[in-house]
Amino acid sequence: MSILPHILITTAGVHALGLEGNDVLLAYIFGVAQDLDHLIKVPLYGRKFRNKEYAISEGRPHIVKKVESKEHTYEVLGLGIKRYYTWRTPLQEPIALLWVIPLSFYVGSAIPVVFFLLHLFLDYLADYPKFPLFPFSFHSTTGPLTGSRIGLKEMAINLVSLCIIFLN
Amino acid sequence: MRPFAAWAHEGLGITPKQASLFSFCLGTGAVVAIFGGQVGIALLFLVFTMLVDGLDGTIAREYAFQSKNGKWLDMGLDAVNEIMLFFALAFTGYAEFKTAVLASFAVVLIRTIRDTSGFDPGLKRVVLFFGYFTSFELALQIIFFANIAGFAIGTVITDYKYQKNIDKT
Repeated sequence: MSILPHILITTAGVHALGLEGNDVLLAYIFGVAQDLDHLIKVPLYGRKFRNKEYAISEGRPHIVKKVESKEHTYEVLGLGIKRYYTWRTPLQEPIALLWVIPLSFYVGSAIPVVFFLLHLFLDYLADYPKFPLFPFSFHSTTGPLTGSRIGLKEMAINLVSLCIIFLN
Repeated sequence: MRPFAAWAHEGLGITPKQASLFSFCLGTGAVVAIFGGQVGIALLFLVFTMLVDGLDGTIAREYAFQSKNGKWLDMGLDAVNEIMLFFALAFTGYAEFKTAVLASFAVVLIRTIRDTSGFDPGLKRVVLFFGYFTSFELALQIIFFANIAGFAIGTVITDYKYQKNIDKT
Protein backbone atom coordinates (compact mmCIF):
# COMPACT_ATOMS: atom_id res chain seq x y z
CA MET A 1 0.00 0.00 0.00
CA SER A 2 1.25 3.49 -0.78
CA ILE A 3 2.48 5.83 1.91
CA LEU A 4 -0.47 8.28 1.96
CA PRO A 5 -3.05 5.90 3.50
CA HIS A 6 -0.47 4.95 6.14
CA ILE A 7 0.11 8.60 7.04
CA LEU A 8 -3.59 9.40 7.09
CA ILE A 9 -4.70 6.39 9.11
CA THR A 10 -1.87 6.94 11.62
CA THR A 11 -2.87 10.59 11.94
CA ALA A 12 -6.48 9.51 12.38
CA GLY A 13 -5.39 7.07 15.10
CA VAL A 14 -3.37 9.77 16.86
CA HIS A 15 -6.42 12.10 16.79
CA ALA A 16 -8.90 9.42 17.82
CA LEU A 17 -6.80 8.27 20.78
CA GLY A 18 -5.87 11.83 21.74
CA LEU A 19 -2.15 11.02 21.81
CA GLU A 20 0.45 13.59 22.82
CA GLY A 21 4.24 13.95 23.11
CA ASN A 22 6.31 10.79 22.82
CA ASP A 23 3.21 8.71 22.10
CA VAL A 24 2.75 10.57 18.82
CA LEU A 25 6.36 9.84 17.90
CA LEU A 26 5.87 6.14 18.68
CA ALA A 27 2.67 6.09 16.64
CA TYR A 28 4.39 7.51 13.55
CA ILE A 29 7.46 5.29 13.96
CA PHE A 30 5.39 2.11 14.04
CA GLY A 31 2.60 3.34 11.76
CA VAL A 32 4.53 5.05 8.98
CA ALA A 33 8.32 4.88 9.39
CA GLN A 34 8.18 1.08 9.09
CA ASP A 35 8.01 1.70 5.35
CA LEU A 36 11.56 3.05 5.30
CA ASP A 37 12.66 -0.57 5.20
CA HIS A 38 11.90 -0.54 1.47
CA LEU A 39 15.08 1.48 1.03
CA ILE A 40 17.08 -1.58 2.06
CA LYS A 41 16.03 -3.34 -1.14
CA VAL A 42 16.92 -0.44 -3.43
CA PRO A 43 20.47 -1.62 -4.21
CA LEU A 44 19.19 -5.07 -5.15
CA TYR A 45 16.31 -3.65 -7.16
CA GLY A 46 18.59 -1.30 -9.04
CA ARG A 47 21.04 -4.05 -9.88
CA LYS A 48 18.28 -6.32 -11.08
CA PHE A 49 16.31 -3.96 -13.24
CA ARG A 50 19.17 -2.04 -14.76
CA ASN A 51 19.74 -5.12 -16.83
CA LYS A 52 17.89 -5.02 -20.12
CA GLU A 53 18.80 -8.61 -20.90
CA TYR A 54 17.11 -9.66 -17.73
CA ALA A 55 13.78 -8.28 -18.90
CA ILE A 56 14.13 -10.10 -22.21
CA SER A 57 15.04 -13.36 -20.52
CA GLU A 58 12.04 -12.94 -18.23
CA GLY A 59 9.85 -13.14 -21.32
CA ARG A 60 8.30 -9.70 -20.97
CA PRO A 61 8.83 -8.17 -24.40
CA HIS A 62 6.34 -5.40 -23.69
CA ILE A 63 8.77 -4.01 -21.14
CA VAL A 64 11.59 -3.99 -23.60
CA LYS A 65 9.31 -2.26 -26.06
CA LYS A 66 8.63 0.43 -23.54
CA VAL A 67 12.33 0.79 -23.00
CA GLU A 68 12.89 1.51 -26.64
CA SER A 69 10.23 4.17 -26.68
CA LYS A 70 11.43 6.05 -23.61
CA GLU A 71 14.56 7.91 -22.74
CA HIS A 72 15.09 6.52 -19.26
CA THR A 73 15.74 2.88 -19.82
CA TYR A 74 16.38 2.02 -16.19
CA GLU A 75 13.17 3.46 -14.85
CA VAL A 76 10.95 1.99 -17.46
CA LEU A 77 12.37 -1.44 -16.93
CA GLY A 78 11.88 -1.02 -13.22
CA LEU A 79 8.29 0.04 -13.54
CA GLY A 80 7.57 -2.89 -15.79
CA ILE A 81 8.49 -5.57 -13.29
CA LYS A 82 8.17 -3.58 -10.09
CA ARG A 83 4.85 -5.16 -9.30
CA TYR A 84 6.50 -8.54 -8.90
CA TYR A 85 9.41 -7.38 -6.80
CA THR A 86 9.42 -8.10 -3.07
CA TRP A 87 10.07 -4.72 -1.54
CA ARG A 88 9.00 -5.74 1.90
CA THR A 89 11.36 -6.91 4.61
CA PRO A 90 10.47 -8.88 7.77
CA LEU A 91 10.41 -5.53 9.62
CA GLN A 92 6.83 -5.06 8.48
CA GLU A 93 5.61 -8.60 8.53
CA PRO A 94 3.75 -10.28 11.42
CA ILE A 95 7.03 -11.93 12.45
CA ALA A 96 8.14 -8.49 13.65
CA LEU A 97 5.60 -8.78 16.47
CA LEU A 98 8.27 -10.90 18.16
CA TRP A 99 10.22 -7.72 18.81
CA VAL A 100 7.44 -5.13 18.68
CA ILE A 101 5.46 -6.73 21.54
CA PRO A 102 8.44 -6.93 23.96
CA LEU A 103 9.30 -3.35 23.04
CA SER A 104 5.74 -2.33 23.88
CA PHE A 105 6.08 -4.02 27.26
CA TYR A 106 9.34 -2.20 27.83
CA VAL A 107 7.93 1.25 27.08
CA GLY A 108 4.78 0.31 29.01
CA SER A 109 2.46 1.31 26.22
CA ALA A 110 0.37 -0.55 23.66
CA ILE A 111 0.95 2.16 21.04
CA PRO A 112 3.78 0.41 19.15
CA VAL A 113 1.71 -2.78 18.81
CA VAL A 114 -1.51 -0.97 17.91
CA PHE A 115 0.03 1.21 15.20
CA PHE A 116 2.18 -1.60 13.89
CA LEU A 117 -0.96 -3.76 13.52
CA LEU A 118 -2.68 -0.86 11.76
CA HIS A 119 0.22 -0.66 9.31
CA LEU A 120 0.09 -4.42 8.82
CA PHE A 121 -3.66 -4.32 8.24
CA LEU A 122 -3.33 -1.82 5.40
CA ASP A 123 -0.47 -3.72 3.79
CA TYR A 124 -2.44 -6.95 3.87
CA LEU A 125 -5.25 -5.27 1.95
CA ALA A 126 -2.91 -4.93 -1.01
CA ASP A 127 -2.53 -7.86 -3.36
CA TYR A 128 1.25 -8.20 -3.62
CA PRO A 129 2.86 -11.33 -2.15
CA LYS A 130 3.84 -11.29 1.51
CA PHE A 131 5.92 -13.62 3.65
CA PRO A 132 4.35 -13.30 7.11
CA LEU A 133 6.69 -15.68 8.92
CA PHE A 134 9.93 -15.30 6.99
CA PRO A 135 12.73 -16.27 7.83
CA PHE A 136 11.14 -19.07 9.87
CA SER A 137 8.76 -20.10 7.10
CA PHE A 138 8.60 -19.49 3.38
CA HIS A 139 4.81 -19.48 3.47
CA SER A 140 3.54 -16.79 1.12
CA THR A 141 0.15 -15.09 0.98
CA THR A 142 -1.46 -12.19 -0.81
CA GLY A 143 -3.71 -11.42 2.13
CA PRO A 144 -7.39 -11.93 2.83
CA LEU A 145 -9.02 -9.01 0.98
CA THR A 146 -7.49 -8.96 -2.46
CA GLY A 147 -10.69 -9.12 -4.45
CA SER A 148 -11.29 -5.43 -5.10
CA ARG A 149 -9.00 -2.85 -6.66
CA ILE A 150 -6.24 -1.44 -4.47
CA GLY A 151 -6.89 2.13 -5.66
CA LEU A 152 -10.46 1.87 -4.48
CA LYS A 153 -9.41 0.53 -1.09
CA GLU A 154 -6.84 3.28 -0.67
CA MET A 155 -9.43 5.89 -1.52
CA ALA A 156 -11.86 4.46 1.04
CA ILE A 157 -9.18 4.38 3.74
CA ASN A 158 -8.12 7.93 2.96
CA LEU A 159 -11.72 9.11 3.14
CA VAL A 160 -12.45 7.36 6.45
CA SER A 161 -9.17 8.62 7.91
CA LEU A 162 -9.90 12.21 6.87
CA CYS A 163 -13.37 11.97 8.42
CA ILE A 164 -11.87 10.78 11.72
CA ILE A 165 -9.24 13.53 11.64
CA PHE A 166 -11.74 16.32 11.03
CA LEU A 167 -14.36 14.97 13.42
CA ASN A 168 -11.90 14.85 16.35
CA MET B 1 42.33 -19.99 23.20
CA ARG B 2 43.99 -22.68 21.02
CA PRO B 3 46.84 -23.58 23.43
CA PHE B 4 44.33 -23.65 26.28
CA ALA B 5 42.03 -25.91 24.22
CA ALA B 6 44.96 -28.16 23.28
CA TRP B 7 45.96 -28.48 26.93
CA ALA B 8 42.37 -29.18 28.01
CA HIS B 9 41.72 -31.77 25.31
CA GLU B 10 45.10 -33.48 24.94
CA GLY B 11 46.24 -33.08 28.52
CA LEU B 12 43.00 -33.53 30.44
CA GLY B 13 40.94 -35.37 27.82
CA ILE B 14 38.08 -32.88 27.97
CA THR B 15 35.52 -33.17 25.18
CA PRO B 16 33.44 -30.23 23.88
CA LYS B 17 30.30 -31.55 25.61
CA GLN B 18 32.13 -31.84 28.91
CA ALA B 19 33.40 -28.30 28.47
CA SER B 20 29.83 -27.08 27.84
CA LEU B 21 28.59 -28.84 30.97
CA PHE B 22 31.51 -27.57 33.04
CA SER B 23 30.85 -24.04 31.80
CA PHE B 24 27.21 -24.41 32.81
CA CYS B 25 28.24 -25.60 36.30
CA LEU B 26 30.50 -22.56 36.70
CA GLY B 27 27.63 -20.34 35.54
CA THR B 28 25.40 -21.97 38.13
CA GLY B 29 28.09 -21.15 40.68
CA ALA B 30 27.70 -17.51 39.66
CA VAL B 31 23.95 -17.77 40.22
CA VAL B 32 24.47 -19.28 43.68
CA ALA B 33 26.94 -16.52 44.53
CA ILE B 34 24.39 -13.86 43.55
CA PHE B 35 21.82 -15.47 45.84
CA GLY B 36 24.46 -15.46 48.55
CA GLY B 37 24.91 -11.72 48.10
CA GLN B 38 28.44 -12.13 46.69
CA VAL B 39 28.09 -10.37 43.36
CA GLY B 40 31.85 -9.83 43.00
CA ILE B 41 32.48 -13.56 43.36
CA ALA B 42 29.62 -14.22 40.95
CA LEU B 43 31.39 -12.15 38.33
CA LEU B 44 34.60 -14.06 38.98
CA PHE B 45 32.67 -17.27 38.31
CA LEU B 46 31.36 -15.62 35.19
CA VAL B 47 34.87 -14.94 33.90
CA PHE B 48 35.69 -18.65 34.18
CA THR B 49 32.29 -19.57 32.73
CA MET B 50 33.01 -17.53 29.63
CA LEU B 51 36.54 -18.86 29.29
CA VAL B 52 35.38 -22.46 29.45
CA ASP B 53 32.45 -21.61 27.20
CA GLY B 54 34.88 -20.50 24.50
CA LEU B 55 36.76 -23.76 25.01
CA ASP B 56 34.04 -26.14 23.80
CA GLY B 57 33.75 -24.52 20.39
CA THR B 58 37.52 -24.35 19.97
CA ILE B 59 38.00 -28.03 20.90
CA ALA B 60 35.14 -29.00 18.57
CA ARG B 61 36.65 -27.08 15.65
CA GLU B 62 40.27 -28.07 16.24
CA TYR B 63 39.60 -31.75 16.80
CA ALA B 64 36.69 -32.23 14.39
CA PHE B 65 34.09 -32.82 17.08
CA GLN B 66 31.55 -30.47 15.55
CA SER B 67 28.01 -31.79 15.70
CA LYS B 68 24.51 -30.41 15.63
CA ASN B 69 23.74 -31.87 19.04
CA GLY B 70 26.86 -30.36 20.56
CA LYS B 71 25.97 -26.99 19.12
CA TRP B 72 22.43 -27.18 20.50
CA LEU B 73 23.71 -28.30 23.87
CA ASP B 74 26.13 -25.38 24.03
CA MET B 75 23.53 -22.89 22.86
CA GLY B 76 20.82 -24.24 25.17
CA LEU B 77 23.02 -24.33 28.26
CA ASP B 78 24.30 -20.81 27.57
CA ALA B 79 20.75 -19.48 27.26
CA VAL B 80 19.57 -21.27 30.42
CA ASN B 81 22.57 -19.95 32.32
CA GLU B 82 21.94 -16.39 31.15
CA ILE B 83 18.27 -16.60 32.13
CA MET B 84 19.23 -17.97 35.55
CA LEU B 85 21.64 -15.08 36.05
CA PHE B 86 19.06 -12.47 35.02
CA PHE B 87 16.43 -13.91 37.36
CA ALA B 88 18.93 -14.25 40.19
CA LEU B 89 19.62 -10.52 39.84
CA ALA B 90 15.87 -9.83 39.84
CA PHE B 91 15.22 -12.05 42.90
CA THR B 92 17.96 -10.36 44.88
CA GLY B 93 16.67 -6.88 44.02
CA TYR B 94 19.46 -5.80 41.66
CA ALA B 95 17.05 -5.54 38.73
CA GLU B 96 13.35 -5.46 38.00
CA PHE B 97 11.54 -8.68 37.13
CA LYS B 98 10.07 -7.12 34.00
CA THR B 99 13.56 -6.31 32.71
CA ALA B 100 14.81 -9.81 33.56
CA VAL B 101 11.92 -11.38 31.61
CA LEU B 102 12.48 -9.09 28.63
CA ALA B 103 16.25 -9.67 28.61
CA SER B 104 15.69 -13.43 28.85
CA PHE B 105 13.27 -13.37 25.94
CA ALA B 106 15.71 -11.30 23.88
CA VAL B 107 18.70 -13.62 24.41
CA VAL B 108 16.60 -16.60 23.33
CA LEU B 109 15.21 -14.72 20.33
CA ILE B 110 18.60 -13.69 18.97
CA ARG B 111 19.70 -17.33 18.99
CA THR B 112 16.86 -18.28 16.65
CA ILE B 113 18.21 -16.09 13.85
CA ARG B 114 21.97 -15.74 14.29
CA ASP B 115 22.88 -18.85 12.32
CA THR B 116 20.97 -17.78 9.22
CA SER B 117 21.84 -14.10 9.46
CA GLY B 118 25.38 -14.51 10.76
CA PHE B 119 24.69 -11.54 13.02
CA ASP B 120 24.83 -11.44 16.81
CA PRO B 121 25.70 -8.29 18.74
CA GLY B 122 27.31 -10.52 21.39
CA LEU B 123 26.00 -8.40 24.24
CA LYS B 124 24.76 -10.90 26.76
CA ARG B 125 26.50 -12.05 29.96
CA VAL B 126 29.49 -9.83 29.27
CA VAL B 127 27.35 -6.73 29.88
CA LEU B 128 26.91 -7.82 33.50
CA PHE B 129 30.50 -6.73 34.19
CA PHE B 130 29.48 -3.24 33.09
CA GLY B 131 26.44 -3.57 35.34
CA TYR B 132 28.66 -4.20 38.35
CA PHE B 133 30.11 -0.70 38.01
CA THR B 134 26.87 1.04 36.99
CA SER B 135 23.67 -0.88 37.70
CA PHE B 136 22.48 -4.36 36.83
CA GLU B 137 19.11 -2.93 35.87
CA LEU B 138 20.82 -0.84 33.20
CA ALA B 139 22.88 -3.85 32.12
CA LEU B 140 19.75 -5.96 31.60
CA GLN B 141 18.12 -3.13 29.67
CA ILE B 142 21.15 -2.96 27.39
CA ILE B 143 21.03 -6.73 26.92
CA PHE B 144 17.35 -6.50 26.03
CA PHE B 145 17.77 -3.67 23.54
CA ALA B 146 20.91 -5.05 21.91
CA ASN B 147 19.43 -8.50 21.37
CA ILE B 148 15.95 -7.42 20.34
CA ALA B 149 17.52 -5.03 17.83
CA GLY B 150 19.90 -7.80 16.82
CA PHE B 151 16.94 -10.04 16.07
CA ALA B 152 15.20 -7.36 13.97
CA ILE B 153 18.41 -6.65 12.05
CA GLY B 154 19.03 -10.39 11.70
CA THR B 155 15.68 -10.91 9.99
CA VAL B 156 16.48 -8.13 7.53
CA ILE B 157 19.96 -9.52 6.80
CA THR B 158 18.47 -12.96 6.18
CA ASP B 159 15.84 -11.48 3.88
CA TYR B 160 18.46 -9.48 1.98
CA LYS B 161 20.63 -12.56 1.50
CA TYR B 162 17.63 -14.57 0.35
CA GLN B 163 16.51 -11.87 -2.10
CA LYS B 164 20.04 -11.57 -3.46
CA ASN B 165 20.09 -15.29 -4.17
CA ILE B 166 16.71 -15.15 -5.88
CA ASP B 167 17.84 -12.27 -8.05
CA LYS B 168 20.91 -14.21 -9.15
CA THR B 169 18.83 -17.03 -10.56
